[in-house]
Amino acid sequence: MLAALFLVLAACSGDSEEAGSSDDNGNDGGDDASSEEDSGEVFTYDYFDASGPGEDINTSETELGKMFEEETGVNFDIEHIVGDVNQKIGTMIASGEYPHLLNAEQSTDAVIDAGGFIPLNDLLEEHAPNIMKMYGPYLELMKRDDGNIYVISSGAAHGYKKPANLNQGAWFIKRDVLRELGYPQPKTLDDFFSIVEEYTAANPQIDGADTIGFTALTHDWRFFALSNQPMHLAGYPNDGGALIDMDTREAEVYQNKEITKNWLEKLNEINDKGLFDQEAFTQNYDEYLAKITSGRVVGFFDYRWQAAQALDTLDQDDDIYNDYMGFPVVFDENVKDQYLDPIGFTASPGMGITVGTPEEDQIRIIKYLDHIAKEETQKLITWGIEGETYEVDDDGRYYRTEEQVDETSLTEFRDSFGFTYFEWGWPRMNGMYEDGNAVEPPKQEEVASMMYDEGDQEFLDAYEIETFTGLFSEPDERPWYPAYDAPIETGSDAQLYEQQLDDLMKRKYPEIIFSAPSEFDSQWESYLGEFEGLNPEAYEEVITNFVQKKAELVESSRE
Amino acid sequence: MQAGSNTTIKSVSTKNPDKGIRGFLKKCKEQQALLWMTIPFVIWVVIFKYLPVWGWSMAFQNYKPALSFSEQEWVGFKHFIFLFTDDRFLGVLRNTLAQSLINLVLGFVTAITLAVLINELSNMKFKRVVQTISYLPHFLSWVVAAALVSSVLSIDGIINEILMGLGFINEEILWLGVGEYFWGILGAAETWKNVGWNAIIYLAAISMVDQEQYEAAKIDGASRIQRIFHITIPGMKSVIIVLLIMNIGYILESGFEPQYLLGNGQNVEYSENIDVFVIKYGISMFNFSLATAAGMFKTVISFVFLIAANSLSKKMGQGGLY
Repeated sequence: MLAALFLVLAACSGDSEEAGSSDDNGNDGGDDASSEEDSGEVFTYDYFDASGPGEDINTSETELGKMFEEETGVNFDIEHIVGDVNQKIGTMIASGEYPHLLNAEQSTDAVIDAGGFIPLNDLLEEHAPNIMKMYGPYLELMKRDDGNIYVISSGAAHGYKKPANLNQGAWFIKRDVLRELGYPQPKTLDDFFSIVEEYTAANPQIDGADTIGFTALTHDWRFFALSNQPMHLAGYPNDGGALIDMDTREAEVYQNKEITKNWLEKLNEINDKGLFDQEAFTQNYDEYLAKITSGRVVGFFDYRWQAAQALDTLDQDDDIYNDYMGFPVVFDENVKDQYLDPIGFTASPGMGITVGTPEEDQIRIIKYLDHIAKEETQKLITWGIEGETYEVDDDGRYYRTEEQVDETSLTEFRDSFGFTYFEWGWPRMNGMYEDGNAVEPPKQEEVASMMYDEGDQEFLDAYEIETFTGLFSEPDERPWYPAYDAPIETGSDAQLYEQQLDDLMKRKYPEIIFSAPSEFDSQWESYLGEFEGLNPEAYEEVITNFVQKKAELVESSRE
Repeated sequence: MQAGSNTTIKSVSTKNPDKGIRGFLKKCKEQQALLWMTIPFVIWVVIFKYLPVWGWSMAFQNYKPALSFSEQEWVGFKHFIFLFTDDRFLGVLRNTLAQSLINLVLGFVTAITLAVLINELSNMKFKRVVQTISYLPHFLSWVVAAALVSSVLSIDGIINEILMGLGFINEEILWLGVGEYFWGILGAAETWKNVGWNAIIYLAAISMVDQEQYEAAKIDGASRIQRIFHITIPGMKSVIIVLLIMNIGYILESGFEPQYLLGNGQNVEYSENIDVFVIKYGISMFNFSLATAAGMFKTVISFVFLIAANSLSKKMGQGGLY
């Protein structure tokens, strides 16, 4: 509020000095923003980003942000989340004090329910032709039940590009292990654990510390890194807490089904063999990352982005054999793996303008976002500046020289240039530009192949693949993807089910896994008994409705 | 001390012939200056302690932040019913009480012992060092302290190494993975963190004890131990009682951070207390009404305990808080 007051004051004082010239600014509608802000007046707004921790900074302190400020007369004070998202956003909701621009991450629904975001429909129509163009195919999906668009999410897909590097779920095995065992390729869960078992038996210690066969991430809200596996092993992509039938498009929870039993039984078995990390349920996220970085772990399952801090560290050091390689593992060979994300549009989270932001500020902010949605700006935030961070060959293909690859992967450079802050989270497209270049440089073959070092090459050759996603199947078409995008109303039975299931799994899974194999069945039965007390139907209904509606919208917009 | 001042006020008031409204006004006039001085604090109490009680109305609604008061949906005791019929709430209540009691007993015994021991030190330099070291952990954030505790207790942590080395256990124990150990771990961690800080107030109480009593006892041939039990500890009694009554009022406040940070799926049946439960089912789910209902429940119980402890202490002739 105070900041807003200052802004208003600043705006007023600006007005009087320029003798009313800025009066025109407000009414100029769809004109190019740059001509309009010739007055040189700069407006600063608050942007709270709950998508992840980071350094708090004003956008104009970055090269990209400075350019955008010159063109639009707007910059943002970015504040990142520290600690728990729900609590932070909950406090905002309770107090009713919001930043001007907000990405509320998993609490987006709650902010919308609380009336914290303003509808963007009219603003987009009148002031944002570029956003309308980029998000054109998805506008219907962005609308909530009341027909309003509240947030703009990042990643409007235009064409599919198979990623060269993993970012999603995979079963990781240490390269050292693969080399020692002659580059085996695990296809099934049994394959995977027999590799783990063989190596651990032969090498009880790694660098003086006890070898850990298989560890798991279970801390706090990241528990899904252990509970999602039955879904993946059965050949489904990450749709969250339910499996979506490809034909009927009905959602069905799987936590009480045979596939989950099989998964837990396997973990129970490997625990009995001494391969399961005894600290899996007591370690926190940092300890988990540290453990992977230490090189003691033979294998684990995680989403690449979630283990990125550890895996990137291993990737950047000199030892090429302490890296991990990811495999698409399934229950049996007849199952087609679906680890790579299908083309999908995630309508939430995204950034939204909050209530209490004066109308003229709303217009400036939406124009700023629209400026970012221009194709040339998109190239700036993904590729950078031609001649500095990328080159163009005679055929119009973009590439990077070795120095440029190195430079653009340096954290300090990415921070000062602004990639860190602008690359994701703002209006963004995915896939390919109209000229056929990949939106994201690492997905451009010319760049991807440059990024592999000797160690990478050794393993690519051993498995006869071009890129590290080579072993993974192409994603099937799932127009509703991702189902976890479904808004779940606060205070509903579905929301209660999610929380109660989470508690139940966190309590019972350790007991089931750590019990003696002879007791497994009775433990599983006792878990099922408690599961009966929950209300999965309420959850299934919400997800089914969402899936069917979204799939219908996507398919009709395609015609 | 407390009891003494109470009786003097009483005796003054009984001597005063003016009673009722007139007497009250007369007294107000006499003590005008004092009354004016209290006004800022009365205002503070009203604004920060009484006005928020209005928010209790949320416990009887399906509260939605965006709506105005008149638009809220009233649901009666729904949230209280959810709380008290949830199977886990009883367990949560048990954990809260057990953790609190352990903290209360351990906290008192260790802090009093430490204060007496520090008091008995004659080397001033050593005394200061001990005191500083013992209260420093109090200033650590629980986030840091919990990380320390969990690394000390991990499989390759120092506790396991020492116990293995001394031959007390044959294989490492995953301390935080066994629910039954949690209360003990929590009590020990709280004690380590707060014992020095809690001892300060007792040290202050000890310094109030008349030195002549010690000298007299010495001449009468009292040993050092006898002096501690017959002079030092009785001298601290009034402070101990006041703190005890106040802490009993907080019996349902067993803390939040350590349980939240050290709790995990394996020890949840012993670690989850009311505050953690409220975070999970109240704040995190944006169910502010449930959180308020739980808060109200806590306040009512605290009130009962506080009054009970106070009257008990009065009955035992120790004087109370009021």
